[in-house]
Amino acid sequence: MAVEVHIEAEQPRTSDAELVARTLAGDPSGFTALVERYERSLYTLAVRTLRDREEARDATQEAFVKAYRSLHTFRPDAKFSTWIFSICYHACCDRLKRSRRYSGEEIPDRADAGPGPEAQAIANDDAGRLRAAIDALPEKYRSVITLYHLQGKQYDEIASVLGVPLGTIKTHIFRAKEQLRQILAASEREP
Amino acid sequence: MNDRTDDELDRLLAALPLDEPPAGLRASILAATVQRVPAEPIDPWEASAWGLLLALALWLVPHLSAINGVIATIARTSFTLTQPTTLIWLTVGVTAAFAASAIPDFSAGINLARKGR
Repeated sequence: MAVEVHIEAEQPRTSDAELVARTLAGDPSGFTALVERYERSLYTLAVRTLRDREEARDATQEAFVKAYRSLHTFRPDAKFSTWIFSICYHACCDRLKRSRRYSGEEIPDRADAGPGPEAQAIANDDAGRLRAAIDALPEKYRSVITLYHLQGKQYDEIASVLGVPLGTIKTHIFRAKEQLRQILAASEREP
Repeated sequence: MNDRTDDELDRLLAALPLDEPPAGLRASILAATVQRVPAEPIDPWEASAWGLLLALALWLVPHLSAINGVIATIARTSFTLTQPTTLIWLTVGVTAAFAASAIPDFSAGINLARKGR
């Protein structure tokens, strides 16, 4: 089944590589277009990883600034979305480490406390319920399922972003989906 | 909902809208990147002029010291005052004086001695 991913970067008019080349040649419109193209997806990755809108805002900005400063190191044969998602994900991890909420690979395989009353109130439709269910996943599954949403079924790209083996990504996606199903089912049963 | 198939879950995920970034995020990203005004570089002529002046001043000091005894004394005193050992002893002295003045009996004794005179 072909999954239709809602991301502006999927059908770009100008390729990312061309926009990067334009930026490196001194044309600021190249990077402006890249910001317009990836702002929402990077913010989504940050907000779902960090579960804090203020922190996510800062992490998104930090990712773009880092990308801009190290744009000359970007290999033209690489995929820009993977590169910038990776920068953003690591910025989020740094923030989680700083706030002592991050526990690396040893995150327990249990769901977090789940959404609060405010989040539950807005989770009255499928999208809201799904978003709340993703928020309730453990950190490692939240990131992987968000990238699965943003990048489609490109497991190798997700593995590159997160810096973990392909097999681990497949396992994490399988388990994340299992937990999503359980959380969604539980939320449906609730009055 | 409980028995959602993989395809159904994929469709749900694909249909999930992206989060809306806060207003002003794009503007602040652009302000920190492409619109950032680079620091004004130092004019090479300005740097050369300052370097020349400093070199001239350094060259003049020993020459003037040799010619005039006063300048030599000033130079020597300035040199001595900038030595770490001198600065340490000056600090120790000032601190000791300050600490002694903070002792009530000590200050009172000095005042009594002054009155007695």
